[in-house]
Amino acid sequence: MNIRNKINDIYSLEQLSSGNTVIHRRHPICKLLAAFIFIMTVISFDRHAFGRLIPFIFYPSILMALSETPYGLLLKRVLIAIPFCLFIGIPNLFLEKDPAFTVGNITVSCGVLSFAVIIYRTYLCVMAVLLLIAATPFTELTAQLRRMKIPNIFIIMLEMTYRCLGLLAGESESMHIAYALRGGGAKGVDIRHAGGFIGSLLTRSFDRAERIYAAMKCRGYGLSYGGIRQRVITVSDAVYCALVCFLCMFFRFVDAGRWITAFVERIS
Amino acid sequence: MLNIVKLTVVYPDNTKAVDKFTLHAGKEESVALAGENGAGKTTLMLAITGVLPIAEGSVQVDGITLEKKNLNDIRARTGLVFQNPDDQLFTASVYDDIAFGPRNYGLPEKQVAERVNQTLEELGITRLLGRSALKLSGGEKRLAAIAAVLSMNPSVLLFDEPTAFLDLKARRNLIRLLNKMPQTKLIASHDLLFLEEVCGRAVLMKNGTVFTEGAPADLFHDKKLMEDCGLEAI
Repeated sequence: MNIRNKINDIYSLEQLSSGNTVIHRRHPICKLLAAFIFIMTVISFDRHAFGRLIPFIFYPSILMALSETPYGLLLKRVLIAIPFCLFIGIPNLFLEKDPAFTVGNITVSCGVLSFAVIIYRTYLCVMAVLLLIAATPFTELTAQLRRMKIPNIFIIMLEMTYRCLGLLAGESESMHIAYALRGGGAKGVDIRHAGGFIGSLLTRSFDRAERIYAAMKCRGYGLSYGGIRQRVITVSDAVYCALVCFLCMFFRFVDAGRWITAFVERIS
Repeated sequence: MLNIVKLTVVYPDNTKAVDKFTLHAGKEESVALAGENGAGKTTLMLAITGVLPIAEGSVQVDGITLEKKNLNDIRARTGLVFQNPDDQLFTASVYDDIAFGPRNYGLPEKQVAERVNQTLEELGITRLLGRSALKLSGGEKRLAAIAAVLSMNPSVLLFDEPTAFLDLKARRNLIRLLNKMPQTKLIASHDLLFLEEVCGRAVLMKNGTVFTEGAPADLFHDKKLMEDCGLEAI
């Protein structure tokens, strides 16, 4: 896969944000708030509370179905984040050897449990963020951040980084092709030329970033940051937000996992 | 309507990129801007939209003077189509790119969608609606960039090298399109045949200022004049 296709891959999730499902239609601030509360609740659990976290799958599952977001697209991105938490979780396997519980003859250690919690927690949190991006246009998200009085410099940095990601990749692809065509069949960039290559890439990217910024300014960017129209929060927006908050709090303070186990035991 | 009086733009290294440039373009008029590389055409366009600061002189769009307090108004009335459409198309989808301007000007999402659809229909490119800007051909990118500007309903359109990256068919389509557009247009290009077909008046630019002006057919075929301006006659 070439760099251009990878850039398309990066932005393919944002392209879904122009959809018109029941989730897309919700007010961005309600979606942002719901995702924030969900993530905060998920990370508030003890590192061995795997059973307590299981019901939280409700959020990504329901949102994915309602926003018609393809699971494959999300999973591909979640898998990028997983290796990072593997590095954090692996030492637990060796450091926490106390038994947590036994299934048949197999004893599961606390280390295995906390390792599983780290992976699962990452999965839930990354899914929540990805679903937020897939169901809300990026411009609306940053507009809400501005409304929440997040310092403007951070938001501009976020916007420019996001926009310039594709630009940097595009420039590096053009330069790499130009280099390869005169590189005498060499694979990759020769170490002798790497410094100059990276330097030129940065200079070219700065130039393009400046032109893109000019194009953005010409179409009203940055004039008044209240630019994006303030949508009214409707009853259904408030209900959506309240429902997510309620379920998060419910599963946070009620051990639904134990209820389910007891229920299953009773019927079996 | 565009009115530029003795406009001077100075770069931080004290280079005068535009020097006492004066031009008046009436309602629905198309003015060609020709000049050698580095004559100051792009700088002039960026200064008209307030992206580059003005050292001296004034710019008026529809009677509104370009000042810091009027930037909102000036940019809503002036649409600049960049030389390289890749610089102008920076969001994930064609829809978002066309919606970028109207959203910044606070239009409700319903009106934004109406503007986007209307603009795409006007340009005959409704097929591009859900596409990624990164996957378009050169001609499609140019049309999407024009749509991104037209969606703001500007009264003055500035084009910087609009035929760059276009094949002959796309160039022909662009000529047809520009001739249909009612807005005041200032078109900078090296493609003199294109300018001759689209513009009723031409301004030759040299060293950041007006060298001469007149009918495109008269200027572009005058070998001596064009050579003096650093250009080549048709």
